Amino acid sequence: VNLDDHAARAGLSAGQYASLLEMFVRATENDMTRLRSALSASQLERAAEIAHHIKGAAFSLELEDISEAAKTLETRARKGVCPDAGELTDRLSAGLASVRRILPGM
Amino acid sequence: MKTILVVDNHPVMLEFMARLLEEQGHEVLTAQDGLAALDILESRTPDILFIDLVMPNIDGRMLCRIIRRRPGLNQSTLIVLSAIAAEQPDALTELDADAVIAKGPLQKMRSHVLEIVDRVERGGMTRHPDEIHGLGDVHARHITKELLSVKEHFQLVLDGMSEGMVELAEEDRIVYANPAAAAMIGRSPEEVLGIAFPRVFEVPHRSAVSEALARIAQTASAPGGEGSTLPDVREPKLIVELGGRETELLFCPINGERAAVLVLLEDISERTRYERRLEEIRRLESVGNLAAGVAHDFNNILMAIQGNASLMLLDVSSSHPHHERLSMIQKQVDAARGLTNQLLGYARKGRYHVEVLDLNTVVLNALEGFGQEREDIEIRTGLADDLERIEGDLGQITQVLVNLLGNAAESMTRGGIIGVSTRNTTESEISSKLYEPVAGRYVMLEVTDSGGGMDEQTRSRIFEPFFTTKERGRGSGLGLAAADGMVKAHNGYIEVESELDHGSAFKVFLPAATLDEEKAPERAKKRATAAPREKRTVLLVDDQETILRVGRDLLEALGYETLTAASGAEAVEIFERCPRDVDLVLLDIVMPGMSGGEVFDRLRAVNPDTKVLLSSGYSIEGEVERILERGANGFIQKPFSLRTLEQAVTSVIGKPERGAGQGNES
Repeated sequence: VNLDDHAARAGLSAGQYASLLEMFVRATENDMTRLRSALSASQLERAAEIAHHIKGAAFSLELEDISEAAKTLETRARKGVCPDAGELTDRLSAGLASVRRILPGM
Repeated sequence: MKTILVVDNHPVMLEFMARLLEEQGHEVLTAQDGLAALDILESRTPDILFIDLVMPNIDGRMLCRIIRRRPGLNQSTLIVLSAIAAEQPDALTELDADAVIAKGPLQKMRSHVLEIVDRVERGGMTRHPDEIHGLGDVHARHITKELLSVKEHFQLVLDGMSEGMVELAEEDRIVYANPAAAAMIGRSPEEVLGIAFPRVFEVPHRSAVSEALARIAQTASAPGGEGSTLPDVREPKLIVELGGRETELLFCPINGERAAVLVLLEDISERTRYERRLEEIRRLESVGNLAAGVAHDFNNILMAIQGNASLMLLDVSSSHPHHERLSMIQKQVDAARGLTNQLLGYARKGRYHVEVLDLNTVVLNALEGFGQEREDIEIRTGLADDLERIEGDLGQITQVLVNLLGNAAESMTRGGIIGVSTRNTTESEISSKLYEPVAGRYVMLEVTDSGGGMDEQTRSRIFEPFFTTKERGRGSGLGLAAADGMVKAHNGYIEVESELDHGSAFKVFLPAATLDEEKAPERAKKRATAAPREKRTVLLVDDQETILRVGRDLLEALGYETLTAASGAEAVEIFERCPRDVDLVLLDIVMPGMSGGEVFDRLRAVNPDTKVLLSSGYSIEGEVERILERGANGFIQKPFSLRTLEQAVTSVIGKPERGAGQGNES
């Protein structure tokens, strides 16, 4: 993730965009906790809703890796079969970590 | 400058929109869900509202509907800002939004949002609910569509449920109500959203609901209470009144990521009414059994009194000082017999002689002796010429009519009009909701009066035994209860319509006859009299020693030789020894051990021509009828007088040559 490029594409200053990313990271970390809890309890409907929530914001922020992983997870959870849930949550975590790395304050 | 409300459940979207619009000099209000938005709208009226569709606690669709229907807000510009816009554009028209923006990358959304706000500021905003801004910026994500279709499926199920369902969020506020729940509450689904659930109930019931919800909240916050979405039904069902109806509430807490409670509402008014009625029927049935038992025992006692009085009257002349007292005893026994007959009628017993009857004739005969003491009552009749026949016990049908007429007369203390009418009808006219009347042709007897009528409370109890509005000592409170029992014993129905100060109308529905009209006379033929001969023997069978003694004395007083048996087995034994010596068996049908019916069959097996006259204090579930059907020659109800006994016995086997009844019984 290139902070300046993303900020420019969003029509925001780098600082403004970074501020939104920080907010996204915090919200998504919370979502990830809820997501893992839902998956471990085999509550796929709930997992799908959380993935949907992550996916929408990631898409708006143009965080494609996160958006795609969330979308796949949502699709499978909605169908009631999600054998690679662990791999997908790992991809989400990895994407989130890469965002975190470019944020100076985090 | 405009006041703008943004409703979205993602903090990034709220932050982005707030910064964007504040930079343009607008006042921005934000809410993370529909419930929070409703709170803001209580005190603020934004010029523009941006609303996401997928949100917890009242979703965007419902919020749009509420906004459009709320006075003061319908002039605000309503913009839907949602990812769903890309998947289900057709479904957005119904939202009645001024514009729709598909969520996409920030810079695209930025331009669409600013363009619309600018148009509103310049007054150039025209409504285009089916035009979606930013549709080209996103790729259709079918998963969202799938998600919505699943939700729509559940929505259809919830919409079609007859039970109400509400979802409560924080502070017990309603965030969802299906149509059934809204109807129970008495408002539209949009109107109930955001209201604290206990407040939809009348004040006396609020605390019970609040306390139940508090207990659930306590349980949910207890260790181990989290992480489950399974309904916790430990909170017992609560029955409260809602909109004047008895309503059962079932609380299903969802201890998930946010505190929520689902409440199922079921209108149980009808069910409760039915259960209460059923309970009442069972209670009355047990009272009926008690009444029948008491009547039976009383009739046996009365039989002994009646028999002894009859025998004593044989020995005293009319000038004897005891003659009048003995006659008085007989009259009192008659009165007591009337009372036991009412008791038996209430208990649905005592339907002995079923024959084909013309109800009009029964009415005319009953009216002949009625009302002679009440000149202030006018009787108007309307009897159908083509009235179908009924099957019934003449004594009981007459008693039903007499009781209804008596009730009507008593309700008109200052005189008035009694109407008696008959007509043919069908089950469709029977209006009671408590039972499903048997389909078919019915004959209806209606007795109306212009008396004081009854209020609902009295009307609901009039068929209860011993219920009376009269002062103690006047009236037994059995008349209508007995009429009800007798009608039911005839497979009929009785209904009452009444209003205070507007008189009453009792309708009796009796099934039209299916029996051959000639049947009853055929039965009578069985009683063909025999020629007198010197000696006639009666075998008297009864388990009551007193009855045996008085019965034997009565029969001997009438000139019959009498054998007695204290049980069915003894009767069969005596009869088998000398079947040809017994001219008539006077058989009690309610006995311990071998029943009357069994004795009858055993006797007939020995001698098919045996004459049998049945006798009882009451009939068990049509036992008399069944034995009569099998060929018994008649029935005599206890207590019977010497005259009645003489008539009954004579009609079957004729008089003994020595004759009897020479005494002074009257």
